[in-house]
Amino acid sequence: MNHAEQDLAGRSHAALEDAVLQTALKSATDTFISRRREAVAGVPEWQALRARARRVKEHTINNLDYYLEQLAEKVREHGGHVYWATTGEDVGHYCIELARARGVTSVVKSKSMATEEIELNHALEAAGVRPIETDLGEYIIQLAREKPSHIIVPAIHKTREQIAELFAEKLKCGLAREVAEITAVARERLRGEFLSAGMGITGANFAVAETGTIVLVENEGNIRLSTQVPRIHVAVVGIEKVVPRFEDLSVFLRLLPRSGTGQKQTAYVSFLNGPRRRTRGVEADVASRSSEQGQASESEFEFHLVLMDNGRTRILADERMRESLYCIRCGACLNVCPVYQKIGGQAYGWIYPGPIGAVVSPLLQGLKQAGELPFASSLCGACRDACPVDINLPDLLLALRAKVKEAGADVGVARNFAERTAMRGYAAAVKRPKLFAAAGRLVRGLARLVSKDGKVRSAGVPALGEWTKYRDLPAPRGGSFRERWKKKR
Amino acid sequence: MRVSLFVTCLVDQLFPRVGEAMAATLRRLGCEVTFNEAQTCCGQPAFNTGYRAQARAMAEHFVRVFERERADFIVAPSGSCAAMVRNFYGELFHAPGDEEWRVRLESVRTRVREFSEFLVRELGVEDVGARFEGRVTYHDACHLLRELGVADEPRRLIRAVRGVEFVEMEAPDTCCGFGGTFSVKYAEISNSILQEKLARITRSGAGTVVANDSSCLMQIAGGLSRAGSPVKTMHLTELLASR
Amino acid sequence: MSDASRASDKGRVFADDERVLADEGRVLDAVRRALGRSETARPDPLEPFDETNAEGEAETSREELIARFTFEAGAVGSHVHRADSVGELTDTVARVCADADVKEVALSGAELFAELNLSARLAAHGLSSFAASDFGPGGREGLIARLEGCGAGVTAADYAIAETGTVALGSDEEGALLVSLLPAIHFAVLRPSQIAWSLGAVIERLKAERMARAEPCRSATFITGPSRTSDVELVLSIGVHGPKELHLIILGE
Repeated sequence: MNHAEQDLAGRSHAALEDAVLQTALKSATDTFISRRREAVAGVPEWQALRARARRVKEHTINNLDYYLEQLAEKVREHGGHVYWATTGEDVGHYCIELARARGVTSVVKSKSMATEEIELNHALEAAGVRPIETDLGEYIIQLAREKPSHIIVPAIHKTREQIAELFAEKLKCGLAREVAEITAVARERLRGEFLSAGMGITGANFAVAETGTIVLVENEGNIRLSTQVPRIHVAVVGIEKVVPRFEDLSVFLRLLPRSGTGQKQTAYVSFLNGPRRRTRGVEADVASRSSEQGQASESEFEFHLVLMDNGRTRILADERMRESLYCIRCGACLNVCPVYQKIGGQAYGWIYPGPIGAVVSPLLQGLKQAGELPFASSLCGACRDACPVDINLPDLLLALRAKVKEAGADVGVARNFAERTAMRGYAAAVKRPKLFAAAGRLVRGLARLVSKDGKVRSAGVPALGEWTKYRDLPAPRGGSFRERWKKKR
Repeated sequence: MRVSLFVTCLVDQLFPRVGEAMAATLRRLGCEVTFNEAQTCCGQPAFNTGYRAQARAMAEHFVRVFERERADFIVAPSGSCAAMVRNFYGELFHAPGDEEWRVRLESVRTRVREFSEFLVRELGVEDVGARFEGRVTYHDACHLLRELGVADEPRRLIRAVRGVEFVEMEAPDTCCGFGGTFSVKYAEISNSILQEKLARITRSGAGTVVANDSSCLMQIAGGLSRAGSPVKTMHLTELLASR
Repeated sequence: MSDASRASDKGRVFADDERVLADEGRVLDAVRRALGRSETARPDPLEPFDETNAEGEAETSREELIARFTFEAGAVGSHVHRADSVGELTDTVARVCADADVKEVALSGAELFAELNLSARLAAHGLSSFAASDFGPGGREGLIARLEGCGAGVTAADYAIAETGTVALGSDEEGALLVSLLPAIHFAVLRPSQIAWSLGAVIERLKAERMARAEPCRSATFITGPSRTSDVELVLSIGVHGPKELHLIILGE
């Protein structure tokens, strides 16, 4: 399915017709919601933590220059390298140059929205560097050549049967019957990759400015392997991921797992301060390395922090939209969103789905490209309640809608013109009560004319047609409230 | 206690009995009820669709109409319309030159209430002497719940109605899928969300579903009717006016 | 930004210095411009936050801490054992290894193990062992290969969190982390005194003792249960890339 060709309505239609996807989405979101609820119930001070998390992010984002400088300085003190990338291309260029300079031919990757955002794998492949996704869900969609459908569980749209078939086909292994078998195949196949890769590329959940520490949370252990085994670790980190002090982590590390998966804590949390030293007593024996990767130009381990802008400074410049940078990518807003629950992640057309996706995609990709996303929401507000950093997502969606209208970036000029005209007409009538009343009487009369059996039929009016496709609309009976009120006087 | 009715454009034009029921109950409870017929629409449709200029024009009209009302409270049978004025009008008048408007807005904004929050929090009333036989469930309209924080009050009012057997549906606080123009712009998605809500309503075993928002009721009723369901919808004002 | 720290940025990827510095300047300029200023200003520090836990840290007895730790660790699939002596510790390791048909065990270079003469005691149970810390020539490659071949790794823990059943390893020694990661079974040995109630308390200790000191430790890892995933249909599967089994041995009183 070539999602890029269709618009959101088209992609949504495909999603709604996909029975397998519908079952998977319902099951996954129901499960996440109940797990999250239970996890949150175990923290009586949850609201205070949320408020604090928001405050920390607000303070950091408003002083981002200071904290980024501090972070970079600290990482360099640790002996790490810092590269500041303006665009996704810059990131790709750096990783490729680094790989070439060090003779790296394969790279193990952990799940990183930032690297997906910039299609880093694509760039690496084109340059002859083989990227291997190691998170099970990402591994699955890499093999299937698909986009992720959820931030936390990217392959949730696939059944175990589909995955088993995929493995059998691409990995030439036997057809797995149980989920445990699928996992075992991934463990065995990927272990070899971890051991032979010359480089590990990850994202980061948090980057602590005060201590120069990169923090990564996970359940599988693939991040630990990607950062502990290969000699070189590259962390691609959006500039918004920084937090000021080490102790700020405790609030976030309590909020993130509970919000994302309903766990009290993920299986592993890694705190990394630059490159690893050699193990005591072990000689870094470069000459005797028989690894396919060739020699490292240095005998030490390397750590590279790639700080990525890629449009974030544009968001930063907009004081209203700035709070979208507080996001810690937990996925909670997806699970509670009635729209996401129905259409899944791929229908959003890019990397970030759900309410946060509907906000950051237009901001990062541009209004023309993604401007329809903010309109595909009923503005119910469940996302805001679920957000551990208390981002006012409905407010941001409304602000984006206004931006799109002001910029004239709507999809479909004809529809846009009709809508604008209707809205102008409506506003004009609203200011003139007698006109409003008369127009109302006229419309109700017309509605009665096109009604049958007490129900309004569409009669060629597009909006009515869309409504009556799925729902009945009762024909108006009797007068309006104001007419009846007058009569009673 | 003087109440000025904020009937909302939807109730005025399509569901007048909802407004009449509200007025009847308020009178029965001893309120002096007025209706300023210069009112039209609070501007929410324009605001939610991104038409700020039009929304502002409609808001100015609203303020002009209601600042003239001497009433203690301005009461609406809709959480989303009440929330529009209370929570979102401020944004339409935030520019430096809007000082005078902000003052005028304040005198109106602080008096606006949704109907159930008015009865319970302002009048201190839960039992309005209504009677209705049947099993009733309640749908939490999103803006009423999340913008105004009203969840408990409608339930207390419903439970106090003689003859009512109140049952909670699963996840009553999930969206019905209306969302204003979303319901026609993304009709297929809107309907798929609606179907979930209808399934929960059916599973509750209730014969009537009550809500405080005519837009939600229009969506739910439209779906129930299309499905040929015997379940009825009723606005809270209509339930409380039942005798 | 000091010249000294820039100078230490050796091994840079691009041949010319100017390119790297220009990129840094470009991003920082964009950040400053977005914030409406031309120079970075040091902000007033954020006001402190009293992260109170529902159950007070100070009032909790050691037995309560152990009980809660044991419960939470069990809930995520860790096996928790008490050992009053090094003898019992050895028995536990030997028993688990025998059940899993493990013949060789890796030990991290914790001083504790040298003190307890753990290697010899394990040998008495028929379990061969090697220490990651004094590995022979062949270097890191050899260590990794040996770890891949052995069935279990034993490390000491540095901290533990009762409210989530977490053990924390904060070691400068790379070998220790690989020992806790590569073999299919991981044993972590901890003392009751290391168990704190909350994540916040351990974060504080970790910072004070290892992260914020002059020579900070290279890394730390919090471990809460064996490796897991729910990526396939949200069905829980234990033992993905990290260890399949986690055994926590609480040694002593």
